[in-house]
Amino acid sequence: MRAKRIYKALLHCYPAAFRNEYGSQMQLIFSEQLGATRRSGIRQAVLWLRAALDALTVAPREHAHIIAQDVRYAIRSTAASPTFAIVAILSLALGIGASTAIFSLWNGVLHSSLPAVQAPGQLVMLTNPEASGSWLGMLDQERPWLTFEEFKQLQDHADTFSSLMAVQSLLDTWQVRSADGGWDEAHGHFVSGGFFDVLGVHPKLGRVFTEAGGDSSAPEAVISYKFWQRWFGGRSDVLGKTVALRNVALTVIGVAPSGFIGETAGQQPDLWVPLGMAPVVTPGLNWLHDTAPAKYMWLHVFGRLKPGATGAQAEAQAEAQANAIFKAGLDSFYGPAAPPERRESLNQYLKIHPAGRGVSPARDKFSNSLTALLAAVGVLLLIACANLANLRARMRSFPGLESPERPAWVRTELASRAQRSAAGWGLAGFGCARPSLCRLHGTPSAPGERSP
Amino acid sequence: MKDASPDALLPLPAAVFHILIALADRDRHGYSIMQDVAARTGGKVQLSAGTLYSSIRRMLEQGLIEELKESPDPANTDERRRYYRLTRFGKRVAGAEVDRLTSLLRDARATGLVPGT
Repeated sequence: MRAKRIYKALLHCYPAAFRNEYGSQMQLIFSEQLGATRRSGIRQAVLWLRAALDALTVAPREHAHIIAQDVRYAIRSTAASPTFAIVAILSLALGIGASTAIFSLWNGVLHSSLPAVQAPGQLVMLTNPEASGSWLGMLDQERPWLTFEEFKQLQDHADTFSSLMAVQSLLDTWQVRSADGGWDEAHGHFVSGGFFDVLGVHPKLGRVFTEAGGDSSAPEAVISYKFWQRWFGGRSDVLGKTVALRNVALTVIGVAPSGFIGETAGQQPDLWVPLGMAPVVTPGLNWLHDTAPAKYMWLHVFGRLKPGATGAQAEAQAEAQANAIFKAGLDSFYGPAAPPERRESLNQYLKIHPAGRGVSPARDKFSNSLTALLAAVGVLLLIACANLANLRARMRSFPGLESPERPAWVRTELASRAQRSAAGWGLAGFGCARPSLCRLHGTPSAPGERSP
Repeated sequence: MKDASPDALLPLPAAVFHILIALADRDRHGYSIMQDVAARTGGKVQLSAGTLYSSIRRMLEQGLIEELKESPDPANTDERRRYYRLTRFGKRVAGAEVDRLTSLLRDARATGLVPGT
């Protein structure tokens, strides 16, 4: 009995249609052969060997035969009713294309982790991942951004974190000039020394800023892989070249790995520049000091808890410590010596957020509409499938395809052939998905990028 | 395929030709075909079940053989068996293959590659 079960399992190497038609006959023959060789272990072994060899050589040929028949059937059925077929195929292609595009967008905005970041699930934020911008003045309740001084206080005293980093919340757009005088628009962030360390990102070329290097005001920049390709043609001698940003010549010290987009979902920064350069590049704002009466809040702060510190309890402990440090800073800024209206800001607090998916102001805003859109394109796909089912019904009445003279398994195959050919046409849908996505992005798409 | 010229199917794969020969004298089921081929070739050719049914599938499609609805042998009432019969087209194709092989053999003998009879 066991031998029969094993042989039956071996028959699964063959296409289902072939197995359904001839499997029982093959089992019958194998049983008889096995009975005839009962007294000889060697002959039984040879029998099993031949059965295995059969599965390895004949089964692939049968699969190839079925695929070839599918292709022929698809062409023949399309030729039999070309207008209807084209309408059904286009519906399916557009349905699959739209579904894939919207699903990618939905997944990218709402669910994907930050690309090229090490262990994104362990990242936390002390600011609000759904907020983007800056604020000069007073705020209350949960703080969406921090000032540079507040970040430094946390970095110096919050020992429940293994490391912390800060990054400009807004993506700046700059006019940059190359050494040969060419101009281009570039997007960038001011980042703290630990930006790349905390995200666990290693450079493709050169070096990146490090936490050990501090928040220097050296005129340096790490450029993105795409900017390297676009601006420097991917040349390996890019290190040491300069990019003029307003009145400053930034020296390129490194190239970020392909696919790395930083900490914000959907953004494509070209440059990362040290925080210390902010007052030099954009003078006039008090970027680095809290000076009464107003703080300039412009930084998102990310961190990783110390190794082994996981779970809600560890996060609560880290949050309590961060708030204690933060409140102490608020007390000294808005404390008893300050006017009463400013003391209202003392109710501000920090909250720890999971940051594996990065910052995304669009996430909350578009969550419901994207989900509704996904459901809508799902319905569109169903309509396309219904069209195809209709096509199949027509094809079944096509003369010659349902001849009673054909073996039963051929008829069975034909009956389901239109459905399987749909998979082939479906590939066209994926072809439609890519341009749709690019159109939704508003930018050309490349491997390793993610949806906004 | 039945309307096709027998020459279009030549040369026949060895397994297909053996099956045609096995079915030439009487209708047989799969295992009987295997046994007949082994007996006629002195055990030198032993069709495996996979090769046999893959060939049968193709021969049915090409119209070389047909499946019988009932057992041709009233004594054999095993309903699990499926019997096959050579079609007229199958006989023509087998004949064409024999002619091809005969011609080939004649050429080989004419050139002295093999001794003549």
